[in-house]
Amino acid sequence: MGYLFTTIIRVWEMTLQSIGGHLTIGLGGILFLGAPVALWGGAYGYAIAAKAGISLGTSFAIGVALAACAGAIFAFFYARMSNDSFAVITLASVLAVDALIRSWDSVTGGVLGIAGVPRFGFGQTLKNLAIFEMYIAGLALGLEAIFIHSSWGRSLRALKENKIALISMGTSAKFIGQMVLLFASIFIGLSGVFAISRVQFLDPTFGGMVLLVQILTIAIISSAPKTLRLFAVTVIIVLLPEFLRFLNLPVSILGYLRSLIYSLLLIILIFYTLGNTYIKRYV
Amino acid sequence: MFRSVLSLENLHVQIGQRMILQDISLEVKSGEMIGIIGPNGCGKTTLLNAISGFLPVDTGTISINGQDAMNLPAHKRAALGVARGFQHAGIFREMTVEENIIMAVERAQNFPWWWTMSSAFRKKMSGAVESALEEVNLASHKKSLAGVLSGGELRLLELARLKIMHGNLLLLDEPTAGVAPVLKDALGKMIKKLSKEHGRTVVIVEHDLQFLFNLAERIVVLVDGQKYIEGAPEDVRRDERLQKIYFGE
Repeated sequence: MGYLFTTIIRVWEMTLQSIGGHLTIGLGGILFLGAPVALWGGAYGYAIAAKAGISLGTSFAIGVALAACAGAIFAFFYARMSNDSFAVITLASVLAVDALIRSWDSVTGGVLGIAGVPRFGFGQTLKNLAIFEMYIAGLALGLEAIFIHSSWGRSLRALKENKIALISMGTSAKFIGQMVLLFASIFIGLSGVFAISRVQFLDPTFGGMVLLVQILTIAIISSAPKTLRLFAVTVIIVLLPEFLRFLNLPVSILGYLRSLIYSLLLIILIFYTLGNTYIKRYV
Repeated sequence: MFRSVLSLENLHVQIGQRMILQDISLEVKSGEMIGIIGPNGCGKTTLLNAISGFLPVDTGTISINGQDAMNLPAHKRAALGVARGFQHAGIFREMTVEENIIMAVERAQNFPWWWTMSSAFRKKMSGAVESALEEVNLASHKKSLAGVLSGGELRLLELARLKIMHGNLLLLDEPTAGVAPVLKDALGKMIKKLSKEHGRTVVIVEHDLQFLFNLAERIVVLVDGQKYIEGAPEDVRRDERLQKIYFGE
């Protein structure tokens, strides 16, 4: 049952991260590559506060607030640079924050990380965490669906396609982009708090580039304004490497082989879902 | 008495080392339709970009509907009344034709975002979309992606959207580019209707001189970023300098 609940919780966590990627990269065309920073903000904020003896509710709020701060900083840069430069800045921020958490031993535990992080959620069991996260992820999906079909959602999609035309209609493209970055960071930070509640151990290998690749893959495949599709793709991406667990592979190469096969599967998935879509539609 | 909708005084725009616009002054009165012509690279589109706020102006003043717009960003100039049409039609091609119209209505009516989820909004919107699309003969394409429309249909959709938005100053950049002759008539009628029936002030940049001379009440000829000729279409048409610009000595 532990494996089942863990997998279900991972789907909910990835759902929250996917919403962040979907809003920014998929719908808004904002080249936001700083998702791991928001995730670390949520996870480290919660873990450090909880280990310091602060109540779990307050620690939860601190984690989300730290992720929101990361979002606000990204929003600040977004308003002042081109999309390409923003991509570089956000990617560089991942490397910078990674270096910071690896070297700041007294606060983050450095490469050894933080062990024994208390679990957030009612009853502190995996089952209860899964149920709690289901409500949160469901609420987040519902909010995203409402957002997509509102005037804000249309503006966001317009931002991706023709920023100049959107501005000429009297909409501040910067403001739309900034708000989306803020909310995306909060969703991703929230997933960080949940993820650390699940594993109860946090070190710099948590999240990082693997997470970024997953979010990017989901955002690219589900770039249509459809929340259900986003959720379906998220489930597929989470479950995709799971079948490898049941293959009789040598333990010494299992980890690397899984990463390799998973990467290849992601490439194949993107290739077959998006190949020549634009040409088929318009020519 | 006519009031001034657009007033430009001694406008200079420089990009890098190149002076794109030099000492442009122009007064456009309410309801007036003026055409801007000139050889390629003379600064026609730059002028529209400067007015609508997409390009910084080095010196000079821009006043829209009596308000100084020099320090306003493009989206705030749109709120002042500037409605912009683009050389390649500023239509969102990944959205449906209906959604393109809905976006215009949302901005014109300034609905709160949460109201756009209500059934009352959907009902109101359905009527607005139907009437807007019927006027430009695009009702049958309502649910199609705008990207599948032809060049002329995109232009008509753009005009339908500009009509819905409340901007009283329309800046149209080459509205007939890539449009078949049969649709040019429809475009011309639509632009005329926007001016005469809806009281919009129109500034058109255009390469099709015949189209523009039939439409505009005043023509401004730009050469090398400077105002070269200005006058009634018939006077400009007869001006020998225009012949030299377009056909050489």
